[in-house]
Amino acid sequence: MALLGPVGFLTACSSSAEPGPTATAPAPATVASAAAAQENELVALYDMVIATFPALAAALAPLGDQHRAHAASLDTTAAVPPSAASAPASADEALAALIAAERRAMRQRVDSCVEADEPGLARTLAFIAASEGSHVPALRALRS
Amino acid sequence: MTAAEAWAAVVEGEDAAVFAYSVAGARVGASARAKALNGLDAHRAHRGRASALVTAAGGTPPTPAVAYDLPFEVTSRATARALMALVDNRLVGLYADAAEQASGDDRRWAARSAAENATRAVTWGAEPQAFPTGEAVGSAS
Repeated sequence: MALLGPVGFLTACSSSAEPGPTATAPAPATVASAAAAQENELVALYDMVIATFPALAAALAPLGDQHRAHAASLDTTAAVPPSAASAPASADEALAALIAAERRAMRQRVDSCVEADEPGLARTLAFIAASEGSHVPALRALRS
Repeated sequence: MTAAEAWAAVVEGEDAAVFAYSVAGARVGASARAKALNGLDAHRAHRGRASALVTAAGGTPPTPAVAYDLPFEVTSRATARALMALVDNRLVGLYADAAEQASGDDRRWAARSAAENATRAVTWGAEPQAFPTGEAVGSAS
């Protein structure tokens, strides 16, 4: 069966495990608190969309709650900021804004994962990046 | 857990995913077949890179299993999708563990791979997850 066939590229990928210079890497608390602040910005965005389009509340509230959990796991002192974004004109526009925000957050969490000095924090940030990635198809499915 | 152990766990998870996608891809239906084949290719490529990372970390890559016991029978499109969602979501934790043990570009690849698997799992019908983030900061896993 093909699935048990040889994998020619098994050793083709060389590892580049050398980390870059770490002298300018932010301290772990900075990485965690910056990520928590960005998570709370997402919470504020979800809250604003839910308040503007109550029909989306049932689908969006669980996703917003996951960002609350992420922020709390990173920095318990971080607070949800007042939403700076203006309300989108339509539900589809709101969903597009959320999709863009989730994709940006996922990239930011991958970056902060790489920057994290503490291994346990890197693991947490990888999980959060994964969670944000998982939100994207869920939001796409809500678009009309 | 060492880096070699974390990457070896990824290799085993990817090997199981290749098996699962091969079984499920045949039953997922024509409209989803291309997506399943893309996933199969991705899991094969990831298994290869993770295997090289085991070696780079001083370990010996695990030997692929001949077959895997499936958690449920794949008898329909729905069970085929559920199996692919299951193996993809299982890989998220394995890549997060690898991210903890790796650094630099390898850690970036681990985090991206965790996200890629979590995203694909939802496209197969899994619920989006918060994943276990609460206990991990500051604790060894």
